[in-house]
Order: sequence, then C-alpha cells, then structure tokens
Amino acid sequence: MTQRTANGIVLANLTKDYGTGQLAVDAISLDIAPGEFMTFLGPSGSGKTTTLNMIAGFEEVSSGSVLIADRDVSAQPAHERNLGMVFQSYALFPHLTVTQNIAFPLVERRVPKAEIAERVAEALRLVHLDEYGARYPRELSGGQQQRVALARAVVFRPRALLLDEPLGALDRKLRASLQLEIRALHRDLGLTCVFVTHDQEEALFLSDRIAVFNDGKIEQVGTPAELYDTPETLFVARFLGDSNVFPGRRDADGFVWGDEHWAAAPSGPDRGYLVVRPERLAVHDSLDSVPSGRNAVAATVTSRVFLGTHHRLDLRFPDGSGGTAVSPLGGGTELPSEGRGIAVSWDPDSQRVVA
Amino acid sequence: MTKTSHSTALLATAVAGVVAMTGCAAGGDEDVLVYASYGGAFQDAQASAWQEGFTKETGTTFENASPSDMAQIRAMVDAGRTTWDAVDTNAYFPNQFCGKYFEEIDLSGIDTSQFEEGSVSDCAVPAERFALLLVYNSETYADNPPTSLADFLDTDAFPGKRATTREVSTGLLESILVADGVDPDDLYPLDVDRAFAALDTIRDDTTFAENNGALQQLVSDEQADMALIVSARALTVARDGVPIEPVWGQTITTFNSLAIPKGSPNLERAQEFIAYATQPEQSAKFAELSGTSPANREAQPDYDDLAEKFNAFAGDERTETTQLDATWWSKNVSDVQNRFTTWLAG
Amino acid sequence: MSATSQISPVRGAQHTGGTATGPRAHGALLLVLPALTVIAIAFVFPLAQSVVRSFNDPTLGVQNYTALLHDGVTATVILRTLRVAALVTIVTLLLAYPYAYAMTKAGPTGRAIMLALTLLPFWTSLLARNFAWMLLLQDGGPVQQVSAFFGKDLVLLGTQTGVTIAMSQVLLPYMILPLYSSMQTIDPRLLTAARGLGARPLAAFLKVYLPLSRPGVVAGVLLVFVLSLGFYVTPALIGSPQQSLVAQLLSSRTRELVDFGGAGALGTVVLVIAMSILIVISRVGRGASTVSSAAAAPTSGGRRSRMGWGDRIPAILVGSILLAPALLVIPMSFSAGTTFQFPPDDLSLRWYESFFTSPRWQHALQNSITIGVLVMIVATTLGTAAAFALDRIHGRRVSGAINTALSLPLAVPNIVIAVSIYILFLRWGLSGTMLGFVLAHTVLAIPFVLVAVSATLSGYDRRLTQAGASLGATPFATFRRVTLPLILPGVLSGAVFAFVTSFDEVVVAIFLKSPRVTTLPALMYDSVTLEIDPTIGAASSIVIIATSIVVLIPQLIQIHRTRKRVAS
Repeated sequence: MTQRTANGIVLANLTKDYGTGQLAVDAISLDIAPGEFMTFLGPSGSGKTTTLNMIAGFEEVSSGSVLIADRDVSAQPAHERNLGMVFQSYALFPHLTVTQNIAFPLVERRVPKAEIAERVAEALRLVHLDEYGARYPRELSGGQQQRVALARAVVFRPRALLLDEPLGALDRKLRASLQLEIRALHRDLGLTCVFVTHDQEEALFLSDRIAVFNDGKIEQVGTPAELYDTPETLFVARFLGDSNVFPGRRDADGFVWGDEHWAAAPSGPDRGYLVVRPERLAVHDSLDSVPSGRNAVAATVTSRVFLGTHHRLDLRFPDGSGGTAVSPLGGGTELPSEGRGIAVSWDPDSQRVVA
Repeated sequence: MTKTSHSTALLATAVAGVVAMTGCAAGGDEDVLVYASYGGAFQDAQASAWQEGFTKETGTTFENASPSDMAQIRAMVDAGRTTWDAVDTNAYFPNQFCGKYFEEIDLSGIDTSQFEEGSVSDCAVPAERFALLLVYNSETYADNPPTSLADFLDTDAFPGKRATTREVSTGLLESILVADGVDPDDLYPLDVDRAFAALDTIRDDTTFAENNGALQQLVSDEQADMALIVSARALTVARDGVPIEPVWGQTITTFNSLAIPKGSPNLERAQEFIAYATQPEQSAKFAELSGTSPANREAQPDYDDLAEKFNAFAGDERTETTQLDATWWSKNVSDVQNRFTTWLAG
Repeated sequence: MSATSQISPVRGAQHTGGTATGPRAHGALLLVLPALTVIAIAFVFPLAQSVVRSFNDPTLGVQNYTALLHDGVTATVILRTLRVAALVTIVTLLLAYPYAYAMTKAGPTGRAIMLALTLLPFWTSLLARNFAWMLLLQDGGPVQQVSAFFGKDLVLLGTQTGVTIAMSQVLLPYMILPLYSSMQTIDPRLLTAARGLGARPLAAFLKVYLPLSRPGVVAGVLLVFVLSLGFYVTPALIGSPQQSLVAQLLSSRTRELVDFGGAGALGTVVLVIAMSILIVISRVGRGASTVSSAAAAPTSGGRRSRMGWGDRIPAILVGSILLAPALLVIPMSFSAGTTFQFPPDDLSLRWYESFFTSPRWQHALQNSITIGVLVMIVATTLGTAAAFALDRIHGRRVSGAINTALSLPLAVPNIVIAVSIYILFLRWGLSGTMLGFVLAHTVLAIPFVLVAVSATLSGYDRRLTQAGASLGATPFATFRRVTLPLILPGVLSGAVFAFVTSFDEVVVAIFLKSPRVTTLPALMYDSVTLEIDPTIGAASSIVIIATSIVVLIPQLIQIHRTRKRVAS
C-alpha cells in the first residue's frame, strides 16, 4: 500500500483547562518525528488521553498549539485533520457491515466506487480479515473488531494514526497478538503513530519513544531503554519497572541514607532518591560477605515467591521500608528463605539518583 | 447548527400551518348567527319554526350550538370572546346579569303587549312556557302508579330509580318542596334548606343527569322509573314510543326567554331574529312541534293528541299550575345553582 | 392515553470521555430552548396563573381557600378521593404482582403475549375502555345479568364500587409495567439459594423476592396512586355526581360554577397533595427504579424457570381482565338498536355507516388526525432536540433540572393541567381552536418523546460520533450517516407515542372543545353524556383497532428483523 509522506506532530505548550482549578494538561511540549511510534504512558487522569484528544480535535485547546507537518491545526475541526483514530471500544458502526465501515471514509472523500472496493479489499488483507467483509460488527470477536477498526483508520491514508488504549478491552493473549499486528502495521506503512496506554510492558514493546505523563505534565521522554536505565524522576523510575528506593542526600563523598554512606557519581541533585533495579541486586549472607567497590545494605527477606522465570524476594530494610530483589534460576547462590537476614549489594554504576 | 435550523424550519412550518387552519376556523361572518339552545328535538323544532323562515326572509343562516349554558356564557363574556349571538335561556339569568353578561335588547320591533305583564325585561324576551312534569314508566308501576308529586319522595310505596337534571331554575326545588308538603302559595321565599333535606332522602335513589339530553336518554332507555323532566322532553320520549305517563295535581311551570350574550358580534341581526321568533305565528309553530306553550298570548298552537296529553296548561281541572317567582329567582338564581352543585358533589 | 405519571425523571445519558465545553454547550442549550419554551408557555404559566388566581380572584386574600375548608363538601370529596385512590392502588397491586411475576417466568412467546395485553389497553382509547365499563355495569348489562342469576341485582353504574373496579382495570397496566421492569432484574437463582439454605418457599418469597421487588412496587404504587388522585374520565362516566371525586369537583367548579378563583385554589390543593405523596413515597422507596425503562419494550430475558399452574392462572385471569372491556366494545358496535343494551338484540352496520357519513363524526376524526399529526411533528422535533441537548450538557445538576422541567407534565394530575390551560386559553382566545389543541397536546406529548429518545441515546456510543469525525465526515454527514440511523427507532417510537397521546387525549379536549372544533375523544365523551349517540360504539371499535395496529406494527417489524438476523 503506497503511503503518502508521514507527517510529524509538534505540541507547543499545549494546555487544557477545565476550570476545575487544576490543569488537565499543563503546557506540554513534544516533538514527534515523522514515522515515529510515540507512546503516551501514564496512570489514569495523567492527561495522556486528553492530549491525544486535542491532537485529534475532539477537545478544544485551552492554550498552546498542535502542529501537524508544521501547520497549526489547533483551531481546525476534527473532521478536517485527516488523522486516523482507533478507540478502546472499537467504535465500529453497528448498522454497517465490515466493508461499509471500512469504506466509510472513502465514501466521505468521494473516492470512485471501483477504487473503494479495491482499497477496502487491500485493507482487509492487511489485517488478515479477507473473508469477513459482509459481516456485521456484532458478529465478530473483540480482536476481530479492533482489526477492522485499524483497517478503517488507515484505509484513507491518514497523516498519522492515533490509538487510544485500543487493546484495553482484550484479554492477555489477544492483546499480545494484536500488539504484534500493530507493530507490523507501523513498520509496513511507515505511519506516524501516537499510542496511549497505561500498560508499561505494552509501551516498552511497541514504542520508538515513550512520553511518561503524570498530573498533566510529561515527566520524561525517551527510548524504552533510556527510560528504563536512566529515569530522571522518581515517578518514571517507579512507573517503569520495579525499583528499590532510598531517600537521602548527597555529601562530598557520595550519597547518605540513614547510617549508610554509599558511593555515588558527583553529578545530580543534592537531595533525592537513590534507585536500584531489583535485577541489579546481588544477594549475600551478610554485609561482611559483600565484595569491595559495591554499595550494600542489610535486609530481611519478608517473602519469597516463585514466578516461573525467576524468584522474587520481598525485602525489608533496616528503616522499615520495603524493596525487591529478583533471583534467576540457575544463579549460583543458595536462595535465602523467608525471615532470613541477608545483605544485598549493587554496582554503583547501576544506580541512579533522581529528584 | 444544522440540527437547530432543521428543527426551527420544521417548527415554523408547523406553526404556520396551524395558524392557517386556525384562521379558517375563526368566524365573524356577517350572515351567520350562532344560536344556542338545548339541543336534540327541542332545538330542531326551534330551527324549523324560527330559523327556516328567518333565513328565507333575510338570507341569514344559522349555526346551532348546544347546550345553552350560563357558565359558558359567563366564560366567554369574561374572556372577551363572545361567540354566541342569541341564546334560549331561563328567564332569570338575563335578569340577574342584565348589562353584565347580556345585552340590552332594543324592544322597538316587539309588541310587548302580547306578553304577560312583567315577563319582558330589558335583556330578555319570553319565548316558551313549559312545565316540569313528573312522569313515570307505566310498565314499572303498572299496578300502583304514582298520583301526586309527593310520591316522588316516597321510596317505600314507590321504589325505583328517580331522575332529574341538575338545573334548579326550572322548578326542581319547588316541586320537591310541594312534594314535601309545602303549600304552593307559601313557596316564596324558597326554604332552600328544606328542599335539600328532602332531596337528601332520595339522594341515593336519584340520577342527576348532566343535562336535558342526558335525562331524556335515561328515561328513553328506561334506566329511570320516575323523572322530573321538562314537558318538551317528556313529549319527545313519548313520541318515541316509550311508555311514560304524566302525573297531574300540582305542576310547577316556568318560561324561557331569548337573550343576547354581551359582546355578540351580530347584535343587530340577533335582535331582528328575536323579534321574529317571538311573533305569534312562529311561537305557535314551535309550540306545536315541541309541546311547550307559547309565551306570546296571541299565539294559537294546534296540538296533536300526544302533545295535548302532556300539556300542563290545559286548565285547572287537569292540574293546578304554579309559576316560578321571577323576582325571587332573578335575585337568587346563581347562588342557588352554586349551592346545589356543591350539595350534589358532597 | 391521556395521563401517565412517570415519576422518576430519566437521568441524562452518561457520557465517558471529555466533551467539548464552550460553543458546543451553548449549542446544546439552544437545542433545548424550544421545548422549554413550549412547556413554559402552555404548562408552567397556566399552572402559575392558577395558583396566583386562587389568591386574587375575585379579591386579594385567602378567601378561596377558607371557602374550600368551610363548604362542607371539599374535605369530604378529597377524603373520598384519597380512599378510592388507596383502594385502587391496593387492588391493582394484588392483581398486577402475580401477573408480572408470571411474565418473568414465561417463555418468549408467552411473555410477548402478556406484554402485548399489558401495552395494548395502555394505548387504546381511554374513552372506549370506559365506555365498555358503562356497558358492563349498567342496569341490564352483563354484570347485572350474571348477578341476577345468583339472586342479587348488582347495578354498579353510578356507584363508588363501580368506579373503583373500572379504575383498577384501567390503571392496571401502570402497576404491571414497573413491577415487571423491576422483577426482571431479580436473579431467580436467589430464590433457589434461599431454599438451599433451608427456607420454605413462602418464607423465601417473603424474605428474598418481595424486598428485592420493592423498587418496582414503590414505582407502581406511586404511579397508580397519583394517577387515581387526578382521574376524571372514569368517575365522570361510571360514577355519579353524588359520589364526586376531586376531579369532578374541579371540573364543575370550572365549567358549571365558573369559579376560576375557587378552581385555582382547589387545583393548587390537589397539586400540593399529589406532590407531597410523591415526595414521601419516593423517600420511603429509596431510589425507586426509573419507570421509563418500563415504557420501552424489554429485551428478551432468556432466564426462565418453568411456569406452573400457580403462575398460569393469575396470568390468564389478569390477562382477561386487561382484554375484556375492549372485546366488549367491538360486538356492541354492531348493535342495531339506539340504546346501549348488551348483548345487542339485532345486528347491523348502521353505526359504522353513521360514523363514516356523519359530518360531526368525520369532522371530529379529521381534527383528531390533523392535531395528532401536528403534535407528532412538533413534539418529536422539540423532544428529540431536547434529548440531544441533555445528552450533551456536562453539568449533571443543569441537565437534571432541565429533565425534570420537561417531564413535569407527567407528574401533575391531568385534570389540574386541563383546568388551568382551559382558563388561560379562554383569555388568550385559544380555547376551541386548533392551535390551542396543538399547544396543549404538545405539552403532554413532549415528555414521552423525551423518554423514548433519551433511552435510545443513552445506549448510543458517543465515540461513534467521534469516529465519524475522525474519518472525515462533517458533523452533518456524521449525524446523517451514523447517528440518525442508530437513533431512528427511538425517535420513531417517540413519534408514535406523541401521536397516540394526542389522538386519544380526553380530559383537556373536553375543556378546550367548541362546537366548531372538537376531537374524536371529546365527541365520544359527549355522545355518552350529552346526546346519547350509539355511533360511539363504532367509533370506539375503529379507534381500538387502528391504534392497536399502529402500535403493533413496529413490534412486528422488530420480530421480523430479529428472525432475519438469526437466520443469516
């Protein structure tokens, strides 16, 4: 399927004010490159869907602007923006067949009949639903309906594709298979995609870059690896993957947490949180067993859970706070049992200090 | 927004259409008189005796409405939209409300000497005299028929369903009082409380019909065994072959008048009509058809046998007639009617 | 049907996701303005005028109210009305409960029949049904003949007992529908669970089922009681003035005594009583379910336990009660005689001939149809626009208030509405005019349209509109291609409601009619009270059959469509 040049989307100080006192979207600026798969990730109420709706034109912009291919579309009505949209509830027209649904945007654009038939057939092939043209949406499963929605959203060669938690209504296995389909679609069509989700695994899997939303602001934008390995805020550290969090402050030599004094890189905030991923923790019998050059802390194992691919150890630190360590099978060390006092250590390079 | 303009257009069309239709319905035709009376055969007789001739002479046609109802007249005059030009109504309302709800009539075209002394008033010209007859179903009371007004109140000796209308101004209360034992000469001022007390004794056995037409139907349908019914209606029922007989002895009589509701758009024409309708020839014709007695003393109706049978004005040997006191009623008619309506609902 | 009181207002459609504020919300207010205006002019204003008049006609003060207290009649009549209303409510509850319960257990065909029996009288001429009762209860009628067989001479026409019986039958559907609607939501397995825990069937019913059906009971009781309070036609036709109910009192005060101030006072008193009862029972009932859902045809439940004879007998009994009067009218219409004797001695088509050739009847029929069509157009347009507006408006308080305002005509006793409109329209010169009828009937019809369309809209996914926009369709194109086809059934059913409401409306018509402009129901009323005209038999039969067809056609289409869908 030939594709027009994909368009980039720029958000400039985009704000949405519902007049409730708190801004739903607070001066967000973001540059989405043409052909990029950008995910808006965040908890409910973080403003990600509202931002998407402003891009689509379903919400009015309070201040700031939305630019598509360098043109300001903030005041343009939704039906003129030429953006494909996929909804969580599929939003297929129940009174039209699959073919009629997909043909809808083409009919609206007065595409000649023969060409419509051809392009609809092509779209159905793209989502592997070739024989389903004459069915009605209610006769299809959830996954099939979403694929029809996808076909409908791309058949008219939109400038970009917007997806609002499209897989939220599907069960785990279906979600996984559709994630693959979406990724394939993105690759084949080269479309700019903006994908909204609260599921961090999904975001990590699909995205070129992720924008993490919190309370109407973007906490951090980056590739999945960047966000995972080098989170810049506590929120991002916590939202993406698990973290062990030690609040404290810097001094001349490193990081102070309670009685502990750990090595830390000189740069970074004065007061903050030291975060370490669970998989970076090594388990020792006691602090004495910890080799030099590593930061360490004593801990008690509060529970030990077998999760198939690994063990998870829930820990309690001396100050009462909790943490997690994971221990893959095949690891040499003997696994501590519940209630055991142990020590965990990590390479200072694998820690981050965030504000 | 398209939806709004769509609906506005529709609404505008609808309103325009309705207004257009309403326009057709509105009247105000010079050559049509709206005449209100009591409907049925009674009004048909008036149309035949009075309206046909008038139309021939003047070209004015009639639209007949019914029933003639004081409340309706009050409502329309109060609202400033009088649609009736001439009405047949009891004599007392025009007297009580002369100038307020009724127009003063230009009597220059009427020879008032033809009418009984004091019956012509500023706002009304008498048209017909009639009686409130006590009739009974002769099949129900084959063995033991009622013979006097008192029998109407006697549910022990004469069990059965009674019926009357809700009008007080045609002699109902007087008939009840006489039935209760009051001497006809001592009727006025009416002891209304006593009349209600007497009515209370037959309250559960009596159907108070909404109007004369309904009463007539009750008697016709033989859903009533005894009735106090105006003579014209009794005659109609008898003419239909229903077995009813009149009870003589004491009979209360009254008369109706023609009047013009205040604000009628056709005042002059209506006056001409009233003058015409109350002339001897027309009066006589109506009397023959309806069984009433003409108010115009110079009218000479030629009754058929059946009409004669129900004629209360045949003479004292048949029955002693007592005419309603116009003065008393002219002052009290609306109060008493109100009281009756209220009493009935309780 | 002239008066229904659906008590709990329909909640505005829920919408997920953000809706635009600003211009779109203003557009929404614009949409609802026409409906609000009509309700304000032809309903709120007349009522307000009535109340005002009660305090200043003929002179300023509370004389009208003190007169009511002291005339010795009003108090009696009000108490009598309350008594009858209570009796009617109890009787209908006792009859409706087993019937509704049986309905939940019936199979799809059985349920469809039982529902049709419930809905049909609901939509067929009120006047025709009351006429049927007159035939049944009169001297020489079937009830008397049957009772004579047992040695008693029961003439119930003109008695309070007769009125109670007739009113119970007429109001029965209003008790069945809310009950059924609420019972449908009760999981029958709960009863099984109760019995599994050791409860005997009666105890299980009393302790589990009955309390769960409470919302339906409360809604039904509310509906029937308030309706009974203001009921006019049945007491007027079946009862006698000596046993007047408050509606007859109100009518006579207006039309016979022309005491507009007193009528205003009495109307205000009735209104206050009705509103108080509404509030009290609503509070007691704690969240009675919305009756509106009862008006829409329920989707097939599918859940059923077997229907035993304990269910069949009440079903058949009550079903016959629902159907009988209508059935009576039709053979009656073929009577050759001029009276209302039943069964007719001779058969003839003369009354049908009379109906179709009499200028009076044909005029009345034409008027009814014209007014009905106009009301249908106006009310459907205004009501649909209002439903859309309510769907869009963000603030729950605002939309709730507007909803209540538009639904008010359902909660106010019909006789009070009729009287206040009559008095005001007299002054405006609208009494006895087509415009007057259309205005008054539109006011009564709008709530029905609102209910029907709102119900459909609440099932409509707003995302579909957004989807249409995202696919490049202008707002109008989206409305035309997406929204309209999907809400059309609701709009059409609202239109049918509006037409039938107007076509069958009796009480307001009795007041607004004039010799020149009268409607079919008003003429039918006259032909039983004024000049007995047996043509009413033919008219009633025709109306019953015609409205039945009009109401059944959408149902049949629905069934046909379902069959087609299942087959494909």
